[in-house]
Amino acid sequence: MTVLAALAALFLVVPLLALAWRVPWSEVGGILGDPAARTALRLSLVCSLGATAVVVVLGGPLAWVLARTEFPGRRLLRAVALVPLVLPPVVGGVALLLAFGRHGILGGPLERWLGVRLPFTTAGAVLAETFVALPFLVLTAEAAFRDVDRGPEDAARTLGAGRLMVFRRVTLPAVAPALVAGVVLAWARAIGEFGATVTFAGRSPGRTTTIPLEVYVLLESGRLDAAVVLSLVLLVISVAVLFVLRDRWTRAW
Amino acid sequence: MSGALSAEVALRRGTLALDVALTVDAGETVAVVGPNGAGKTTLLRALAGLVPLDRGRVAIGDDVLEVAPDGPRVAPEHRNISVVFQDYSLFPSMSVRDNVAFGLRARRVGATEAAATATAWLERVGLADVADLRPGALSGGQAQRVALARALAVEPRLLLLDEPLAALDAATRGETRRHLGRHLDGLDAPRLVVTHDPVDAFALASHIIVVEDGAVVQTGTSTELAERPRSGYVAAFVGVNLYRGRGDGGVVDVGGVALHVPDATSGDVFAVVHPHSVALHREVPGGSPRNAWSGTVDSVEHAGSRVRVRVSGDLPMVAEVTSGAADELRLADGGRVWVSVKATDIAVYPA
Repeated sequence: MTVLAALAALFLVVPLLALAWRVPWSEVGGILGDPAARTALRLSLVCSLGATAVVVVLGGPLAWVLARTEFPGRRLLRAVALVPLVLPPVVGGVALLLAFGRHGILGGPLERWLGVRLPFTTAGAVLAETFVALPFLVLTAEAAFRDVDRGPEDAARTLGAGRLMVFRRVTLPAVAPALVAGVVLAWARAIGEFGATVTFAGRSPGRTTTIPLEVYVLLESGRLDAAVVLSLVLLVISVAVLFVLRDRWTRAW
Repeated sequence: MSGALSAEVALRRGTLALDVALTVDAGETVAVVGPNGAGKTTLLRALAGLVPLDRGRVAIGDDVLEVAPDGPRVAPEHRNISVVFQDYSLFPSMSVRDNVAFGLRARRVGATEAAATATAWLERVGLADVADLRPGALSGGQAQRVALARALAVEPRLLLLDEPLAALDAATRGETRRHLGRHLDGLDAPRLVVTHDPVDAFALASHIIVVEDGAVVQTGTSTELAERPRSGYVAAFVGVNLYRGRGDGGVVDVGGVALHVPDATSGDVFAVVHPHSVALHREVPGGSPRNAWSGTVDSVEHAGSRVRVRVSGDLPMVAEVTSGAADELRLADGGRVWVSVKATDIAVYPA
């Protein structure tokens, strides 16, 4: 029992140590200063923040509807909202291509009538990241909206507050910590996204090559040092996310 | 100026079928009492507009707030009905002052004016010094007063209180009850207070409505309920022994036990025996009283200088004796005891 648990712990820790061990510390500055790396870093930031914004705007209302309304098919909708959690990202990318690609059921009309092209563009990368990150917010926010004490909401209504004021002054402050956690989780998932992005948005430097894609490109071309340093960036982000969410994650669920 | 509340509330929630009609005059406090699950809280929520009626009507004065199924329905935020919730439901992320000011802010009163009014209310309930704290830092009694101040600050047309003292410990309860009573008496609006505690009901309300299984079983003043209870719950609530039986001349047959009563009766009747009219004896009582039985002591409860003794037997009965008498009788759970009641101490009325 104890031995297996120790093995599991080692299995998780050793690769991270190996990565940290291999970091060419003296070259970190130079590698991160490289134009291609800087472009990838900036693009990652832009795409992940854009995706997070879309996730909040669309996922928040979806979470509310799932938590607070009763309609036929609600359970099915919740299951659908969680599909990207378990779906291989590459399959998500293929599905996005078939929907929003140039010959996709939505992509065709979008390009013909609105002149909007999504695949192999930065907007496409944002779309791919949104797809995989959405469930993280929906899941957290739905639980928060459902489990929050409704008593104060009722009290606010009887005191004369309309639905919007109840939401803004009573519900939102109560669920804010959970929402922040959901947003951070979604952002962390978006910034690390690889499979759906590479499939739907391709890897075009400066437009869709985010850090994970750049890491892959660097590894393929044998530039291990640069790949390790960019991986380190993603590792640091992950650790920072864990730190932000420490109270929610290190307490038992 | 406030009008009277008049309401007929009929609705189904799960296994509860609530069907209650009631009126509360302006300036009057009415208590709704009943066992758990009787529908008391649901009744309050329906009046506040938080639960829709299936059938019925809610009006304050001439202002009709809801007519179901086909009539208008005023949303809770437009009813101007304040509720003191059982768990107070204060807003945890706001200061105590902002809690009290909330209703005024919702009515578009300016921030400065709302804060000043809230502070004045906090002074009135004796809590000016905690205005800047969060509700989480308050004691139960303080939280209750904040909930009251928050409910009153909007000058409601109707005040609903759901078990306002139930969450308090015995030490705080008495003082908070007196405090609450003072504030209720100063209101023009009708007040409806839900409680399962007789002391609260008698102290706060002039009139009591007893609800069991979603329906009104009896209404009246505390004296009326104590003199003529019409259900086992009401009898227990007011603390008397109630028996139902068939009257035949000067005897009431209660499940095979003959209860001798002062006057001739007939048909289905209730018989009430006040616990302090019940005498207890170690041996068969002398003087051959006609109402005497032997029984087993179920429980002995001390309340100040009085002792309530629950005796089981052919006719289960609660007796209230002085603690001196209880010591003399050496009462103990499971012990045998004789019970006697004078016929003239039994009140009988038609069921």
